[in-house]
Amino acid sequence: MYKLQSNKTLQRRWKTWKKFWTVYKSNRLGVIGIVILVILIVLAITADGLTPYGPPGPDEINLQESGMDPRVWTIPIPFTTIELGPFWNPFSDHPFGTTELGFDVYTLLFFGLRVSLAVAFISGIFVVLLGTIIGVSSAYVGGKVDAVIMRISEVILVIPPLPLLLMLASVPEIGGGTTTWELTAILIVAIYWPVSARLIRGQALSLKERTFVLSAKAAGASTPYIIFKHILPNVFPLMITMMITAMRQAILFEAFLAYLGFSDPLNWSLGFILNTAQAEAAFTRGAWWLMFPPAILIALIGISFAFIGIALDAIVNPRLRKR
Amino acid sequence: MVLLEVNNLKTYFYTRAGIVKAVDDVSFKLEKEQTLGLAGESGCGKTTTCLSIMRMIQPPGKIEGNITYKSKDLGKLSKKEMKDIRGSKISMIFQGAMNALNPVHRVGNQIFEVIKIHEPDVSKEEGYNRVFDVLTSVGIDPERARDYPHQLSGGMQQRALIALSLVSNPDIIMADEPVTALDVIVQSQVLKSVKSLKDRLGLSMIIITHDLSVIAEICDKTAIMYAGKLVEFGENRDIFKEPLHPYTAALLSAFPSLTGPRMELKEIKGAPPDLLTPPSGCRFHPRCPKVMDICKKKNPAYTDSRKDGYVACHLY
Amino acid sequence: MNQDVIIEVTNLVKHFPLKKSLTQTLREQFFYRGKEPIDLKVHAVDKVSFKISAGETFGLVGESGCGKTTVGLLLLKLIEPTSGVINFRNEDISQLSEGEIKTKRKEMQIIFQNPYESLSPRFSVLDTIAEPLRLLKIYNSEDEVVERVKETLKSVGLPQTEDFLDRYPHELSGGMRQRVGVARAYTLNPSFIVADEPVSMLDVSIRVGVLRIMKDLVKKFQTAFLFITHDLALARYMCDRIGVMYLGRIVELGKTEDVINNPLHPYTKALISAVPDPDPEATRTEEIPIVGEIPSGLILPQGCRFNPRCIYAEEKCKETDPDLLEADPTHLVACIRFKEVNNLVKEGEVE
Repeated sequence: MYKLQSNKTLQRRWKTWKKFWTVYKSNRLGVIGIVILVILIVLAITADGLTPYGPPGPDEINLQESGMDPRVWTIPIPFTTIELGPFWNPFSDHPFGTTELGFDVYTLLFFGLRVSLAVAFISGIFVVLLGTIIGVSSAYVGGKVDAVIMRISEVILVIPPLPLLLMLASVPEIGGGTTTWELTAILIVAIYWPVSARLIRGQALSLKERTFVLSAKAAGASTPYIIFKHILPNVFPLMITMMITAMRQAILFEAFLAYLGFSDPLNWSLGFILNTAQAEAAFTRGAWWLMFPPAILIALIGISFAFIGIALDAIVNPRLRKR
Repeated sequence: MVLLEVNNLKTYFYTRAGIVKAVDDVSFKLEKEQTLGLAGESGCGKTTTCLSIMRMIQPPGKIEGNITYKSKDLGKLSKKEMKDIRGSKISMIFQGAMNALNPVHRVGNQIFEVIKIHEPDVSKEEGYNRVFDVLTSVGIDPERARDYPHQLSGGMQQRALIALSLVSNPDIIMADEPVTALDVIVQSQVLKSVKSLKDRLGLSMIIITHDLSVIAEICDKTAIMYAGKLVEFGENRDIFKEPLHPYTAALLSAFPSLTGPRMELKEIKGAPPDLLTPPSGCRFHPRCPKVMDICKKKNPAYTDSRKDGYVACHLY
Repeated sequence: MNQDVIIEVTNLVKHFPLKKSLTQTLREQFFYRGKEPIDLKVHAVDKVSFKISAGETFGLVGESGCGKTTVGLLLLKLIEPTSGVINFRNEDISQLSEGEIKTKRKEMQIIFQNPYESLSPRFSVLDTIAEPLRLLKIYNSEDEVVERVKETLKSVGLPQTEDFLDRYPHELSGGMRQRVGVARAYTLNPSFIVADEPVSMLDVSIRVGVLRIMKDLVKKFQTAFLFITHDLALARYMCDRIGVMYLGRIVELGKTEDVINNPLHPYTKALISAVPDPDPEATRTEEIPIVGEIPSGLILPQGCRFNPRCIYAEEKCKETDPDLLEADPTHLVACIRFKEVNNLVKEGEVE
């Protein structure tokens, strides 16, 4: 019976969303980004159904029937033969080839996509959540607490992220034990939260002084009310942009860590496929199918986030909108 | 002698949403040693008019019409010729002094730059002498030429801008809201300087402002604009004492006066129109207290109301 | 008379201390021990006193930086005063905490200057005007809230349709937004309203409408109204009494007509003579010259704050910062030489 915002507001919100989508559609890059992302997500979710083999797990080692077969396959064509790399015969059961141990690359790609996307999304969401909580609280508490938090975030930001990630990952408690994709996500959040915290804190600080906040105070608003009803809704667009950026960074960080071996051996991410490729000296042996597909997928994920981010930027900053 | 003549100036912006008729058929003349006040509220087209004279309108804006400066049609000049005129013969002081001065260069250097652009052969010594001269003439101690803009107060920044526009001895200076952002006392000091400069150097000026009292202080003639159209033009005396156009009258009665009897201010109902879909006929008709049927259909033409003035209203 | 006085301010002071950097604090600890630490503060408001009765509009006039906005915020306890007494209906609220003052908030409201900033972009018209009602839990049902909002919209001359209630600030013009601000301030029927430059960002033709509404509401509800502005002519139109501020102090206080037609303080005189007149033929009175620029609030001039720029200043002006002296029971001046100054002017012997 007693609400703080009327019913109509929710109806209005739906209309705003529709309007937002119409504007968004006009930005071609953004649409491409969303399309790619949606396709990748769908593929990741339906991985079980589309792959001939299950995920690489402790029970299934999907070796080729013939076992390890390092032969160089050739396709006989009159007058020449086309040499394909080892472990790859597009006419066999493994159209995308296999790793040295016989894991089907096609399957690996699907499940790797799933893990990579999971890490990206979870990291992105938590970076923004943590960043918002810390940023807004810091802006409101102010004083020494704010100063301490800012100094900590500065220290984290000063150290280059990739070496920092490595440093954290190699701590025995973290790197030595079982690595799961959740752990990777936690690591990424741990090094990236300062970026979002600082941005959001900046916006919160400037919003705090705006006259509509003073108006609310003059009407008897308490600080929690102001934070939830005035600051957060106005910080929301920044949060969304931040989330997309964080996801884009997360995918790259994850690929970096996995490539160097920091990944769940049972839940291969795309980066870990690359690790396997490197461990098996794929390039020198010409096994390009182990390297390009995962790399392309990683790049596609990154690009889709980047395009979405560009489109969102264009909407938020009207000057970038095309005439 | 007529220095600048604007005839049927039309500046339209061809945007996705439609054609914005920012300036719609505006005509006026500026004579030597005369100060014209271009008055109107925000969005009425006064800044756009001056930008059109300087030919600084970017696409999707297009300028049509005839602007003659010293018998030269500005529309027919090449880019280079226009560049020579801009800043040296016709200069403009933009709104918001704080933004118009480059914060990382010293003030004296910025003024020197202007001389250098138009007279590349001028020697440093001669150039800087002129800088010091012009600073003194606007009331700034030449010592301050070494200061950065943020070290000057608001009033001094505005004067520095005036100095910038004066330094190449232009024939015409156009000032966009030159004193709006200033405090009352500083405002009157700057206006006084402008007045004395005007008299001393025989300048011709166009002052753009929404503040009619500023126009009353320093201008000789006034042109009142509304929604892209020029609705009344004439000598200050005439316009302020006997405003013919209902909008002019309404505008005047909306300014509370400090001296004289405490009068009741009159309201103008409604709001300035959207220039994408302006009202039909006379653009002021929805808000006009003296509206007639014909006002809704036909756009009024200019009628010579009195010596050296005209008005665009169906009442006449 | 005393029952009528809604707000009485006595010797209100607000100083903003400048934060010292870490190195400065360290330096003071280790190198300047024993010496007086340099405590720089901005003297925003210094010993300001005035009162406003019910139904009266009091204008606080001055140039930017004189402290008038700060006074407005102080009276509403949006800023904490450094010292001084603020009496609201004979109760001293200056030392009350946020919690204690919450119930009083429905008696005092504020209208801000910038119509583009004073409304939350995410709140509809209904939500903005209803916010004080909901926060202070005035009504029990949503319907009552909507009814009250519609009533307030009517009193400011805005449509009361469902469609209008759902509009967002970016769909309204500046004048409409400001009216929403006025409506919001009046929803609670406060006895005291502060308006900080309420029309300076509006187009000229729109201003009168908004001002007219404020005047009507003040009359109807007998609100005590503090009108802050830099525009003397506007103050003359709106206010019954005005106080002229300079560098944090009130230098002249009195009935509007008295102060404007017979200014006693040199600053007021200079201010009045500097206002341009929208009449090209008016005899421009000889302008009272005023030297120099407004000094910063950090380092105040010695003695009377106006003395470095005052053409009538003498040695004794540098000794004390004068309080308001009575020229008339209702006309106060903060100038120790005001008698001589005005006689001089009258006889035309301006030095």
